[in-house]
Amino acid sequence: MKARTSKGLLAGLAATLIAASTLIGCAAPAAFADWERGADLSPGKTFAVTKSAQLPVDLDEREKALVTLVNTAIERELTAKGYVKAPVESAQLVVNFYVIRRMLQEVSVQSRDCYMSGRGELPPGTNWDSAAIACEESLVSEYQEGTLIIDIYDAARKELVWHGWKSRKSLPSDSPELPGVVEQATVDILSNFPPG
Amino acid sequence: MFAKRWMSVLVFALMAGCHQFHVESQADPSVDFANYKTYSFSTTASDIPEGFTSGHLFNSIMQRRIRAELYQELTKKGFTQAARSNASFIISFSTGARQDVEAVKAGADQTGTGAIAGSATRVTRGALVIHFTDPKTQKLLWQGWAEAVMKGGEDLDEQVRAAVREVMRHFPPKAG
Repeated sequence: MKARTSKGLLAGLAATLIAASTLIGCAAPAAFADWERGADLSPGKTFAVTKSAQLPVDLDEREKALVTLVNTAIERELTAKGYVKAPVESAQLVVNFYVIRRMLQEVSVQSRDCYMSGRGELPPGTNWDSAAIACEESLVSEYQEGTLIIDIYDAARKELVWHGWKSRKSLPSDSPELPGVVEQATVDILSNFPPG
Repeated sequence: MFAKRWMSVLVFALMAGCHQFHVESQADPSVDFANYKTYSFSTTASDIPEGFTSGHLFNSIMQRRIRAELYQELTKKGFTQAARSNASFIISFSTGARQDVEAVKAGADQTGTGAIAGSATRVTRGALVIHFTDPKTQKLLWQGWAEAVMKGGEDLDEQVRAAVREVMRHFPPKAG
């Protein structure tokens, strides 16, 4: 249950960012953001994407490719919004990203055979509420959720000013869907930037 | 978690605008809060309630927000922020979240994995905890906390500031 920084990043990113349609229907989960109210995040500012200290150092080739994918998607999205890429030494906004994973529970409610299907069979004095409950069964199981987090810092103040994230049920790290899911998560997160 | 001599718990389930918090506070009954007028913020987070975990939302944006709201509330109440060496109490705080599986109808009350008779749903609860500690004795003088069901897409700034205000309504504790 406890969130932890992923060690094998994209074993995590992979395992992480995918949602099984059975979990949340077919609706895409939303991306969210929190930010410092009053911070100037207006387009036109310069930005640089840097490596988060929370990303592991020893990435394999697949993980490196995913990191590059997210980097590229961030640069593309911010540029499209009017921000200007710059060297990190002179950038006004510094952007980085990382992944956390945690175990969660999911609940699926199912109908099952019960007295309610044949009311006439119930003995006199039956508690109908109890009978109704018995007609449903909730199955609780665990799954791994991964969260892609994008942080944006005000370089001059060295303060975190924007924090965006999107969580999905994990996919296997070798899933062919993974790059697309990771890229889409990046786009979805940055759809909330700048706020307002 | 607390000695028996602690005052009885104040429990409030309240509606504050559109925010529904469950708020509690505890105070050391031997403490005269009239003697505590200055405070400083701790550089470390407080413990969070059992079952809650602190996650990525307890970041520096959140910490600055809580500090700012506490500053406003304490200033209104006549308390003054001071250097740690001059503070009569130290404030630490934390936020966390917990996932529960809850029965939709009475009768489905099992937690953990497996089957539950009846309809159940998953609920995520957020908690804010605020501790006031005596810097000389390291004793906990007062603590307040708020819990609320978290829904995706809420305005965290508004929600957390409201939670701080609701918790701080119970500080300082009424004498007697």
